[in-house]
Amino acid sequence: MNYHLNCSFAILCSFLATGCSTNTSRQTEKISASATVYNEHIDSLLETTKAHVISMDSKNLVSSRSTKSREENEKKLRENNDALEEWIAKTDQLREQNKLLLRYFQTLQKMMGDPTETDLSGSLGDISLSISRVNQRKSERRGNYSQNRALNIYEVGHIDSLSKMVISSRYAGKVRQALIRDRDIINRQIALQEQQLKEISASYERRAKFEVEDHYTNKVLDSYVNVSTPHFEPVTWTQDRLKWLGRNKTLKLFDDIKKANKAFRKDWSDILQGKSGVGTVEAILGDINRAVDSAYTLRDSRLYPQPVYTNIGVIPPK
Amino acid sequence: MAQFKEKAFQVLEDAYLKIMSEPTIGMGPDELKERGEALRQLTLDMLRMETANLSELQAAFEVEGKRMTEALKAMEEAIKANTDYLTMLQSIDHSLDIMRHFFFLLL
Repeated sequence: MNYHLNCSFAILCSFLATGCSTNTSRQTEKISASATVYNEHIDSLLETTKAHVISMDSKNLVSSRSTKSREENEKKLRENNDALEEWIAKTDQLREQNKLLLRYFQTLQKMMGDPTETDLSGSLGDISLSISRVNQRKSERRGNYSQNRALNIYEVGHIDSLSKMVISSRYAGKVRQALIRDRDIINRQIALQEQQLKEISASYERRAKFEVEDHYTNKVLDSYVNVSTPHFEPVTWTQDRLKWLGRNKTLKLFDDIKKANKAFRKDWSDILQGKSGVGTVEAILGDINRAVDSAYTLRDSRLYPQPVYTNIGVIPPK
Repeated sequence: MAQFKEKAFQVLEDAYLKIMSEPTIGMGPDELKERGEALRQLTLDMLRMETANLSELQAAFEVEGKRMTEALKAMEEAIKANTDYLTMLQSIDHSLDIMRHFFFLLL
């Protein structure tokens, strides 16, 4: 996912901090450590989003299950399975791409440390080739329409402008050659992942909104107004209402990650030109740290600890 | 196409939220059946849109754009109309039926 890209960029920035400036290796380690923490938490964020999507899909299948027609149930299950599998394949692909990007930048970092190491240049080329192949697999699976996947005109234009950018002569010859060779693939990947981050965060926010509504309707509104409910429990109801009032934190979970992503995109451009500095890295790390805090908030959130099976109306036989 | 996508998501989300805003306690079997099926179909359509890219949406829109736009408008009106819950569910379900071919093209 895009988030891993951010992490990768932090690592890339770290090699610039050591390779192109007078910063110490200790600072580089600090940056890399933050990037790794960020990477892990974003990964769990992706898993959480996936769990919400699957949970809601299952819940809606249950609520629409017929008790009379086997054929109808088979059709529904098949339709939902197909759509869900496609969605999961999309998120898994993002994870694979990010792992590759992370490896790419880690290798690039090593190469910066020892530009004479010939094997590293070859490894770098293999990784960039793998990144482009992951993209092709999706196109093959979904036909020619997917050739450019979710890229819009603005993004294609941005890729073109980056492709024409002159790579800084401050880099050692082999590093410069690798950047020239791989920049189109990496540029494209950055544009794709930015788009994908938007889509995944929208998927998450959509489910969170639905779950908040479900929680409010059944745990807050109905419990309070329904006078025929045999046992009204004030303590439970107060806690449920409190959870509902804390919903905004969960809904804004991706805001800092989106901000960090934009900063990384600009930073990649600076890196190609040899302009990236420690100040930029620190600003980006600030966004990353906020994103990690948000990820912790989600993990510790009691609003949606597990998929909640409330409000399920299985159709009774007539 | 991005504008259409945003609008479609907004209408489908509004429909989902409107249906969800009514507690199920006290609902009869007909309402439960309509409700469950409408929620499932809305989630399924949103999943398909989330997976499709703009080129795929464009291709489906070229075939089904007119009917899709009309169905979205009808769904919006059904959400806003001051009708009873079952009538609203049936109107939303009718719009979903009209949209079916559009979403089928995204597969």
